[in-house]
Amino acid sequence: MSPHLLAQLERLELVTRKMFRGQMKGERRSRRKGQSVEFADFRNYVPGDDLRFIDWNLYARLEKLFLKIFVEEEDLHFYALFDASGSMEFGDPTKLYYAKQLAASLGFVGLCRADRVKVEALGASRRFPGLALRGRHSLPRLLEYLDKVEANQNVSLEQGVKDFCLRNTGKGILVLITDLMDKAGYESALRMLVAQQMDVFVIHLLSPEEMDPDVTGDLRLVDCEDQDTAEVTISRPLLERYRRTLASFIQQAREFCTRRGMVYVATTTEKPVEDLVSNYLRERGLVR
Amino acid sequence: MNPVQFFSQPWLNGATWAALLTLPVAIVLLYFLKLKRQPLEVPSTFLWTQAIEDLRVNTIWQRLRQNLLLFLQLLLVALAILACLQPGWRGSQLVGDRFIFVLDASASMQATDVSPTRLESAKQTALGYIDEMKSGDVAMVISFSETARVEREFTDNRSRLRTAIKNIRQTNRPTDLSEALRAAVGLAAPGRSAFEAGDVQVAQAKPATMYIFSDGGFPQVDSFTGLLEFAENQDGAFREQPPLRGLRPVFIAVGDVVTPDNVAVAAFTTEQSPVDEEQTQAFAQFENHGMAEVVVDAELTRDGAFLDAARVRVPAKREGVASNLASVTFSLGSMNEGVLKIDIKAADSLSIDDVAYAALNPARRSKILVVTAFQEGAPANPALVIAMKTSAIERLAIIDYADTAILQDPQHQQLAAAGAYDLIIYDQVQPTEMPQANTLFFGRAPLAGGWSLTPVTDDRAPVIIDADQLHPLTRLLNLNNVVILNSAIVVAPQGATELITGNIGSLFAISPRQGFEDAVLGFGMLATDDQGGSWNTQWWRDRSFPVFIYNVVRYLGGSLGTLSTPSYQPGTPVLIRTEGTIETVRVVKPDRTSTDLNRDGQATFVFDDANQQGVYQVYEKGQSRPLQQFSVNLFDAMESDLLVRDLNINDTTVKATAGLVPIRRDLWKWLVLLALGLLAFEWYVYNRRVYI
Repeated sequence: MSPHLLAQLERLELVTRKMFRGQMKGERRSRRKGQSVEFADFRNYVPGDDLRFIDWNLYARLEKLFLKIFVEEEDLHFYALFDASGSMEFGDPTKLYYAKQLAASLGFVGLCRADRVKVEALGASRRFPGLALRGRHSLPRLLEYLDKVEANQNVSLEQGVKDFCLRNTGKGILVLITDLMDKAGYESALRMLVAQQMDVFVIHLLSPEEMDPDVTGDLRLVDCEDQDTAEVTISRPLLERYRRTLASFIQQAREFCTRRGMVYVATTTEKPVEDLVSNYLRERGLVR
Repeated sequence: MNPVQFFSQPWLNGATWAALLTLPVAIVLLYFLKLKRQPLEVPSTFLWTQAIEDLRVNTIWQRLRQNLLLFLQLLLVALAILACLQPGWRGSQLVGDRFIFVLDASASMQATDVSPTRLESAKQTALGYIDEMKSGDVAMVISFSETARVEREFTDNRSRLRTAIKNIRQTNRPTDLSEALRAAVGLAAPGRSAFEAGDVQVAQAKPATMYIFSDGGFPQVDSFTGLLEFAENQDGAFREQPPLRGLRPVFIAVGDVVTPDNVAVAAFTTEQSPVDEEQTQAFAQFENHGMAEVVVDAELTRDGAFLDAARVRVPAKREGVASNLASVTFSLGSMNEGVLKIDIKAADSLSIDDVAYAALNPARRSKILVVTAFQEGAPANPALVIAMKTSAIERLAIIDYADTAILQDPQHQQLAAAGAYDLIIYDQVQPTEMPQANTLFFGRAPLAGGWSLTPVTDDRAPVIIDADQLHPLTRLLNLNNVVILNSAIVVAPQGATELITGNIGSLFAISPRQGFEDAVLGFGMLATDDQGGSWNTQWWRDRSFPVFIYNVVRYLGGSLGTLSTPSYQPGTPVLIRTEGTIETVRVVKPDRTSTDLNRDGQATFVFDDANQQGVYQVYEKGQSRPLQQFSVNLFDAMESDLLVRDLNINDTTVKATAGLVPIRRDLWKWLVLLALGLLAFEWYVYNRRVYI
């Protein structure tokens, strides 16, 4: 990650459309009232309250005990979940590399704002359990983790998400970076995330080769994940049909997500991460 | 020649057909079985399988449809198989490598029995022949009517030959093939300058084939010595037809096999009524060349205005019918000027002979000078004077008398040499130089031109035995009672016509001289011996003498035919005779274009552009009335008869043939070429990954 990118990312912060309950004091206002410098309200004193919060000036005027209530500032749980299946190993740069970059960028934004950041590869939880990090000094650890993740964590999207959901019950922002190329379908996995009541962003990552395949001749296409084959003779009509299929696939995914309150972003590895974060995701309201 | 098969290979039976047809099937099978697909790892076949899902319905056909290369290969094999079969078609080619295309452009080629005309049809056929020429072949184009015209000499440039053929123009002229043959032989056998039988051939004639495109409507060609002995290589084809000095004539008949109907105006003249000389008559004769009797409506117009019409039944040319001619006479009253046109309004194949023209010349009295001895200021020969004084002669001519002394007068000599007179009668006198006029000599002969009078040596009295009853001068003369005392024998030049024959020899003869005619009578009216003044003959008392003088005035004085105008065939040179003082004349053609002519030598002008049918008018420069008129009409039974005949050259009949020899044309070269092109395209598709 370049210093330039880091400088750019420092100025951003993660935004959520929901207010979540944090575990630790953070930099975000919470629904909970508590200890902070920002005044919120008064209430009558009931025995047992912390005497430190009694407004003694008010007591001097009214001879009644009131308790000052402050807005509690909390931290935010940010999860970046990226697909590390074999199919992510394609493209130049590879989709996986791009996904790692994106996860690191978003993670860094969270770290800078004292949010609780957890970056994890799908299905990698057993070997490389994701790290929950806090504070910008944790960036090297984050990057170290990302470095270790390799493609070929061949687990279905559904299985990976399910696994993740079981281990992480906390509410917060979830960014799912994936190519959605799962023969079993992505729908059940996404539904599971919706059930977690998280603020879900789906970043659909495709390589240019997938958008516009540059292949010719009589080919036997081999799926790198399950070794499934498809025999094709490339011709113009076939390529057009492929593009139509891809377009409708993207359209279906967008509709699916929008309908369930998830934010869907389709991108290719051609688009620089900086652009994506600072322009595109800002527009979509993930960062500010 | 056997019909040419489309597929010529003898080994082509059922088994080979089957073997050939299995080839493409094998290719298709191999294509499926041996289709080598390159493995390619992709992130996911997820989208691909979706994309090809609906293609799986008709997999085989879908695959075939999308496989350009397979198609190209199949097409290639198909072409190769077809090429192996050596397909061909029946074509034709010309025999030999040197050709002479001789096209008839005579009047009869205007006939419309083949559309659009015979000449156009001949041109199309000839153009087709030129297309069949191989590269390196040379050809020549000649068109002919009564003269031949070399349109293009030997060349291998086919576009020039085509242009030459297209440029051949229709003429109204009669036909003479020998001119064309002479031109063809002359050009085909260079080095020959004469065509006599004894000529030694200088250069070796190259054999050539002469294609004659004609309807054969011309007289047979006799004794054409250019067509005598022939080339050494007497093969079958040459024996079949008579070779002409290395030329093999091939006659391509142009025209319908069924002789088309055609009625022609065979003659059209005007003349004075024999009964009343003031009255003019028009006489027309029609000839039917068709196979059925025809009724024609002859319409006579004068200067375009309707004058008269007649319905004439013209019998067909058939056995048992005496004549296929019919005639009609129109009475024109005292008409003596204008252009007459007769149109028979026949819807037949040849239109040029349906009309004829004649011009009525304004009456003109001829000028006659009688040179005779004078006695006391009057002619000493009363016989001549009396005979000339008839009213009929006075109407025809202005007669002057002059003494013999005038012959020495330079002024008279100049007038005579300038053609001031139509006729000069020399009565027992002769000029030193012959005048530009017709002459009649009594008892003397011209000094030049081969004339002489031989005195009779014995004492036989001359007796008239016979007179030419057909010649205009001696027609209707009864000379039985004529007694002549002395006469010399007239020795006439070659080509003269003897008109009166006596027991001693010729007494009267006439001979042409440069467009004039000289008539010489061996005896004079008056005795020449010392018994001066007495008569040598009593002919002048006979009834026949004034008739004779009248004939002389009419014929030699030029009064005969002053009313009617001479008619010429299209293309013949016309000799126009005028008075000697005129230096240039203008000839106005029927289409109102005009040509200026300059004097040609003596008192004659030669007009050689009489190609159009109609009346031509000759004007003196600056004059509004025409000096003379003449008409040009086809009047050629050979041209009007549209029967397609065989050629006859030197008593050898050249039959009409197809001219082209059938030949097998092969296609396989083109197929192989096409297959090669296809192969290149396939290579391109394979390398450039062109999608369909």
